[in-house]
Amino acid sequence: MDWSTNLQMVVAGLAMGSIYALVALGFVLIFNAVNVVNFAQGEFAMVPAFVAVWLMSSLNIPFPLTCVITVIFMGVFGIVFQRIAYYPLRDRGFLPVVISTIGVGIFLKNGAQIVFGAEPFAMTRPTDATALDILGVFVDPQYIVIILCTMVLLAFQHFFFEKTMLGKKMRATAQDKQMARLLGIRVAKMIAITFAYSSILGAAAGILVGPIFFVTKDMGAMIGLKAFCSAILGGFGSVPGAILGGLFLGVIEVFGSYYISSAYRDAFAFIIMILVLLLRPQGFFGEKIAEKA
Amino acid sequence: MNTRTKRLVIPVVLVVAVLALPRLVTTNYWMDLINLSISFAVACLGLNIVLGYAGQLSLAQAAFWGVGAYCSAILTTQFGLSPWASMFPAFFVAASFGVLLGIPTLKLSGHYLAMATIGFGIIVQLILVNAIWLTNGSDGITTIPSPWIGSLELKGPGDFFYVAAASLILFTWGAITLKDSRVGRAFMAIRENEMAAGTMGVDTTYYKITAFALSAGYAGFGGWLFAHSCSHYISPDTFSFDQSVILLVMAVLGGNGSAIGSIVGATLLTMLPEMLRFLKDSYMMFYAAGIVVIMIFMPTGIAGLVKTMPVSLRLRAWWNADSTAARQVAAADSTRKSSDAALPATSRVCTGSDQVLLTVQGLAKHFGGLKAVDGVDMKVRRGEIQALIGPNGSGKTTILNMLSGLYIPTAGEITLEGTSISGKKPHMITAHGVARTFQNIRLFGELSVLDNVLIGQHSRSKAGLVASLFRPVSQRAEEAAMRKKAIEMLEFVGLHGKEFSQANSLPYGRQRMLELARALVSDPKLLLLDEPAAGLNAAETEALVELLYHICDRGITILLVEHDMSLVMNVSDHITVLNFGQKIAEGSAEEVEHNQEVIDAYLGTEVGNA
Repeated sequence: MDWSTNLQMVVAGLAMGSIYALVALGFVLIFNAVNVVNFAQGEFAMVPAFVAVWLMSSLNIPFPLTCVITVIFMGVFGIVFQRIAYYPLRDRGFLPVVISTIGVGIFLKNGAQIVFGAEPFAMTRPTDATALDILGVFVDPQYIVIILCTMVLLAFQHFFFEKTMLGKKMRATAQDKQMARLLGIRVAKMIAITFAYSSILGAAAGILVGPIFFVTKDMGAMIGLKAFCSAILGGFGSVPGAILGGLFLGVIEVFGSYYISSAYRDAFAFIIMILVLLLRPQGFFGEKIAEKA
Repeated sequence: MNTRTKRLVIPVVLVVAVLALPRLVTTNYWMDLINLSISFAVACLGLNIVLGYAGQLSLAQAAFWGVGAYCSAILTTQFGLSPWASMFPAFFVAASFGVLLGIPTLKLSGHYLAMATIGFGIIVQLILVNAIWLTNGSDGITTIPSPWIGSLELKGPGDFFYVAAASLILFTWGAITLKDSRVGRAFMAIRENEMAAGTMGVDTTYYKITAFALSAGYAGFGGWLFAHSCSHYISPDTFSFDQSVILLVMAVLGGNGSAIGSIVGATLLTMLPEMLRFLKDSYMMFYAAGIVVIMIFMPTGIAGLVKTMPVSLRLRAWWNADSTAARQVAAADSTRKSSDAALPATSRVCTGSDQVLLTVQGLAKHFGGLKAVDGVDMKVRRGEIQALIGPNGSGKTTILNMLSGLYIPTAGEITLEGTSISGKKPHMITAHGVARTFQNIRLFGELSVLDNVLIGQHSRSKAGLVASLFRPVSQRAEEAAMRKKAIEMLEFVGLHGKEFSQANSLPYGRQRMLELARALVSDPKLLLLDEPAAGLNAAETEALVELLYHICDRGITILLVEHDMSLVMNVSDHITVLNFGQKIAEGSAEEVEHNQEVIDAYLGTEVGNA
């Protein structure tokens, strides 16, 4: 119960929260672009984890090259995904797309099992396995890697959306497709890029989280659902909301399982989400949306 | 074939099918699968109520299915209750879990609702795993007893099948009966347009919770069927999120909103994996790919496909030809043809009185810093036609929204006949006698014209869930009276002959008339019309003026928001003019027309525009 245990838990929580934040961002970017919730988002972290493990252990490709290949693979994957699960259903309302993304999710899970087998994989750690001793606080170095990589990625993303033409075009598409189209932006292409980018965020999450847990076909499901909770906590559609929601949830989960009950660890995220939806449906940062009469 | 023999066809076919099936299917393996599909089908019928009828997405159906199964398993194995008795707790405990889920998710829709229900399902599953003292944890509960009839144990799947089939028939009958009743229509009104449902008198909160509870109860009963058949063993991993998804896909594949479709969907998706067994490990992959393909190529599900086939259209027409509703419409037609006295084209005879019907004092609505309405006083006198005009954004619709309960006023008081109605919920205000139409028409588009007008009478009728299911004489009399009134009202607005058309298939002008009929049929004292002439051509507008006079002659007071100035000046006894959320003028047409401030507001002043 001393401060070092608590600090240790904060670091662990922030690391797991970073993973949630990355996947939650994927949700939010796709939601903002096409108003669709991608229920296969968790699988966007599971697939790259398998790909990376396979590249490293079966083909003995070094870690940095593995990262590059996985990111490229996931970019293409995102584009193919939107072609199949979203594009044919884009004018059909909410439910069909939800079901089709869930369908693709189940497909990916079982596909992974057939391609890579049912045995869980251990991903080679890029960092040392012994805990670092920082002023008496013992921390898994992979946690530090996760937190730092996430921060760098978010800084890059901020720059990309604020400063580059492509980023601005993507934001314009998200805000008003019709207007963007009138201005000569190729909307369909922007949407495809958004899916690709959101899938690359998944690649980052998958590669980062892989060394902590075993890589299994089911690893994506919970990460995906909790990331969704994070996005709702932060206010669905809000980018800073998704990040803070993810970090918040990661920390809460670690503390909840330590102080309250580890058996119900997976329930905390959902209980908090349901409470937030009850008391403040727009989340921390979201805007209240009222239907006009 | 007369009606009575026609109504016998279905029971006879069903009895023959139920008796024949165990003789045709001889292996226990397939019989078990059939029982399993029936268990899924009952859960799917429930999902169809909450999703197909009421339009609320639920991804927790497997959790309710599990609650029912566990409830019955615990009661029978630990407390020695007979399975016959435990079916009731299975239903009702699951239903109360449905209420538990319904309450926090009331305000949610779309993906929020989906997520909240997923969370709920996962929490329930976690409890099943971790509350070992009650559920035996992940080991599950074994040797769940079968029901007995006398000295015969219904252990073989062929024997249990009769119980399963009888329950399926009962629950299907319930779902189908419900659809064509006051409660079912309220569900569908919420699905089609929640806001309009509220202003038509439907207590959306109550009906959403009812839909969740009923749906969960169905799932709970499905769980009972599951626990006492097949392997007589249950464990938490059966009642997973993935299973909820599969139940959802079954309901959608079958055809959203169709009870029979749910059964077909459940049966197909239970049997399909068995037929895909030859694919070995990869069958789940093909299954999932199938789901995506179905979504892309069969958006309306199997029921949707079947419904549009000529054979089924003809079958339906034959079946419905002498339904009570059809006979009532036909009767109304024949009386009209004999008298053939349409509404005489009169000028108005009604006159306003000095008696005040509605008083508005200091009414205000602020959205953050924006003062949409800022301290408006006005009075509407009984029997008159009053208009509320003003430039765009002056707060007219906001006032109507407060009067009908859609917005809660920031400040101020609204009284109708001396009773305060400010801040009350839309359905309560409708019950007090205020009805409205919307600027952008809000019909229950997928429902028939007749159903739209029947929903308008929601606050004037009272059949509850039990009466809607079991249809006692009082309920049937009420339905007949409602239909009679609906048919009269449709005739009043010139929509006779369109009773069974789908509402959104009507041309625009007629949709406005239907919305008017739907509002009028609730017997309002005050009728709020939000731009009734918008989008109407000159002839239609002229007909609207006639109609307004006729409505007024019926003793209904009208408050009108309208941009068509010639219409306003023509019909209004009193005009209130708003600008920037405040009242700037009030009086008769002439007075308002010559008011300098009004002219400035509409045309702008040189100073103001400089």
